[in-house]
Amino acid sequence: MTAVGIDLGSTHCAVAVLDRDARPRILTTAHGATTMPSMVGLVAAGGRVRAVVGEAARALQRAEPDAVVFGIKRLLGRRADDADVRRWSAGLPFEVVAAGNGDAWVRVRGVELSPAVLAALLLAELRACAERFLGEVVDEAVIAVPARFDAAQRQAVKDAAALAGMTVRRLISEPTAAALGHGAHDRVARRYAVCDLGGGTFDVAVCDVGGGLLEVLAAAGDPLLGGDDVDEVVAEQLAAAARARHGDDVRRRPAAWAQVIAEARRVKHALSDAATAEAALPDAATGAAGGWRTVRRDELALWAAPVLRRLEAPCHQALARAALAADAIDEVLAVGGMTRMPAVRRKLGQILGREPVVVDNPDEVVAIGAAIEVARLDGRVGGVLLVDVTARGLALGVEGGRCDVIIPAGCVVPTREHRLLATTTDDQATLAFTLYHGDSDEPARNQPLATYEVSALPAAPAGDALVLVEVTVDVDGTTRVSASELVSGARPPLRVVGQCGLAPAALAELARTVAEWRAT
Amino acid sequence: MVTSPRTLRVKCATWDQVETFYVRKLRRGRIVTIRVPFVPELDEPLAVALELPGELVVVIDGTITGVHGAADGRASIDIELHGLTPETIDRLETLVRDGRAAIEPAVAPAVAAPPASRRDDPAYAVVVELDAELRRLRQLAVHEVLGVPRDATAVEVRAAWRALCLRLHPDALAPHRSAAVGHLGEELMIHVNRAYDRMRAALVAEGRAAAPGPALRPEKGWLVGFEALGTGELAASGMAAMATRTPGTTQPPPAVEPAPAPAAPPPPAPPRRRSASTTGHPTVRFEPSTEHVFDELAAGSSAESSLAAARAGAGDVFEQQARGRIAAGDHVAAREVLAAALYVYPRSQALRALYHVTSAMEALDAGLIEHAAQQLEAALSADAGCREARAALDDLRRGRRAAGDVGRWFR
Repeated sequence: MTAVGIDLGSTHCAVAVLDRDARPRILTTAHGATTMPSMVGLVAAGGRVRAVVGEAARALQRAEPDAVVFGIKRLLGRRADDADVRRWSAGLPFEVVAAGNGDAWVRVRGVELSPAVLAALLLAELRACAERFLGEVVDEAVIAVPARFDAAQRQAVKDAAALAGMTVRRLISEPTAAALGHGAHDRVARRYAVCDLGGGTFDVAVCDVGGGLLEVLAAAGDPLLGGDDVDEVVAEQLAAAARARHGDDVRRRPAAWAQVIAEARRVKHALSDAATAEAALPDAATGAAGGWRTVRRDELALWAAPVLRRLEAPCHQALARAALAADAIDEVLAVGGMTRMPAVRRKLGQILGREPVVVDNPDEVVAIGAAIEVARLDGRVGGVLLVDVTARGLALGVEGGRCDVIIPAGCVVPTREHRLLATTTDDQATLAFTLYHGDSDEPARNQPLATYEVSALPAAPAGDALVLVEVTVDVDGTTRVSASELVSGARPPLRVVGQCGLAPAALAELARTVAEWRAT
Repeated sequence: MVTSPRTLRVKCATWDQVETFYVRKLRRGRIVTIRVPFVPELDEPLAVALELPGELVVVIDGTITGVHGAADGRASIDIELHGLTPETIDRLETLVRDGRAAIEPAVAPAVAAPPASRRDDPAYAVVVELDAELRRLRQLAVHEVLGVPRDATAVEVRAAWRALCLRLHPDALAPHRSAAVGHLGEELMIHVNRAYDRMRAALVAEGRAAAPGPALRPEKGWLVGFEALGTGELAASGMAAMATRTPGTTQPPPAVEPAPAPAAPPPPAPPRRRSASTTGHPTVRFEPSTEHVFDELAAGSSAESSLAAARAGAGDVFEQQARGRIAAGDHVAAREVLAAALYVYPRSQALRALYHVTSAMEALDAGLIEHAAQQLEAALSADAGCREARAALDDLRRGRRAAGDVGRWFR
């Protein structure tokens, strides 16, 4: 019955606990690092598949780029025809395919996999880290997810945790976790803007702490903006400099280009502390170092400026959604590894009119916040209550008709809403309805979550058999549905006909697969 | 037995029985069915006297609402206990708790091992308490759930909701580590949240509050969500008006300051409803026709070709403005205009070129000549006819030659 706090990031993961003295501890991976790259590689060895995770997967990526999957979090609980997914999946070494129910799955080395399974491999690795450190079985976790995650995405995270052998004690949103990790729960009433710029995503949330509650007032973000974009522009510049020297376009050779990206990342990291850094230019033939170029910090800032300008829109959006002016924010928290870059902090300060507070460990603070929440749920530490809202609306519809938004976005969870459905033909025995994600009353504009079928209705004239459908959104932001037949008061059988995500029946089988692939 | 009103004495031998009475025996919170040795009339008043173990008697007034199976002078009756107010239940709970506390120290150590009753579960008392609370809340009107008057202000509603959250939220009850407590906490919180959401919606509809997320602030006027600007509603004319009015389009749309309009109350504008946001915003007017056009665009229809002309025409406005600002040396403002324009016309090469020019000017100001030259060349590759870029590049080359520094950057 040991629980840990987990940050499941799109580029890096971390796991933390609160020790006996209520002091947060980041648990290190087998490689001794505090964070683990969110990468999973598949190796076929001796006729069976083996999964490599984290640093090992990153190492594998250099040799076999097509065997390694990254950015798993972007696909969790999404559909393959989603605009964000399509935009992101162009030009990846692995393929994003549509599963039978329209979910986004990946095909790597000919194997089609649900992102939940890949996330489970990551979580199982983190769980192993924690068990190694704590010396006892870890079977519960508080996992931080972005505030904008909808019910399908949250359910996918829960499924992944179940596959990894853990029960989710609570899903909390990343900005609240960051605020907790920063120590928001010890302070008096305050309003935070939490800016989380990681490797691949940017999230802003306005949080209100006070009176024992921590609420997310508004959240916004750019799912395709992060440190990787800065790496890319720096790499472009290095490639351009190389082209000017020996007229060779390194961009055309993927392996060499990957090295240039890695060099760009190194330079970017070095310039967070130093004013200048030496960058190795790619060579014409091999892609190895072919001369040096000194990069100044202000040059980097200038190159990155077009990327950093994209920070503006989500910040303003979050403020507008919270109906606040920038001066109503008491503290700007900068978390995520990219906020080590001075230009990022300057830009955030410029947008929000206040110098951001840079936490000591921007990569790990979210996991620490999750660990604090674990201890609070156990009653070991006092703290604040986290209050969350629905990220997207939920709509209910019957086949062929319009649907009806029953729970709009921004409702405080947990919440419940019901609708009455009536039969349309005499002696109708079954009645099907669909739950959608979205705020539109046109089913085509919404994303279907699941289709249910109520059967064994009593024989009655059309319209006389009434089914009461109740949709509950629980504290984690995931949904559950129940139906009862009103005339007899019975609870007729409710069957899930089609749903996004993994079917609960398939979980046990997949859990075995996960365990098998992890076995060395 | 003809005294009026009749009193029915119910003997409760143990505290558990008292608890069972108010936890399990009541239907719809206040109806109890009792077999009695007489046949009463319907609607007859009847009081129930609970005789508690401590020789206490609690009398609860009621009315008979149903008589079943009357035979040989006996009947089963339904009594609606209108006297069973939440206060009465509270009092009973307190009595039960105190009564148990008085008994248990004597008994408990003797029989430690057998978990005979659920009473031994430490969470049990909490379950009973929450169950009674849930029962009570289910009978109440929305404002009574929160414990505020019907016409409560936003501040009151929010404070009441927060207090209930702290008491009843499943997370606040999590330390009990009991599934039953967690379940009751969730049910209670669902009830409270629904009441809060409804009161909040009512307050917003009356224009007495702005409701972003779970927050609720007393505020006159209303806001249009920023996202309303980003979608198909972004008409060129509106955008141009904004661009001319404030160079800083990066500012969020200001909160609409008190627009009292007593005759026509402000439309209830939940920020994300498109229909509402198009009607009431005083600063940005959307042309219905253009909005329609952009809607089509957003929906991905194939109306793009027919739009080309309209878009080209409107783009000129931005181009002229930006040129004016570049000429005036106000590069930052020019960039703002261009950024806004590129949002609307992402494919306009002329705008793109001008954007590169402003970047180059900024780089020049910062003394980064190399970068400026790159930007200017990028401008020319986007739009070979860009006057500003050509002029600036010529200037740059001339200046360099004059200074004797003919860079290898200009091949």
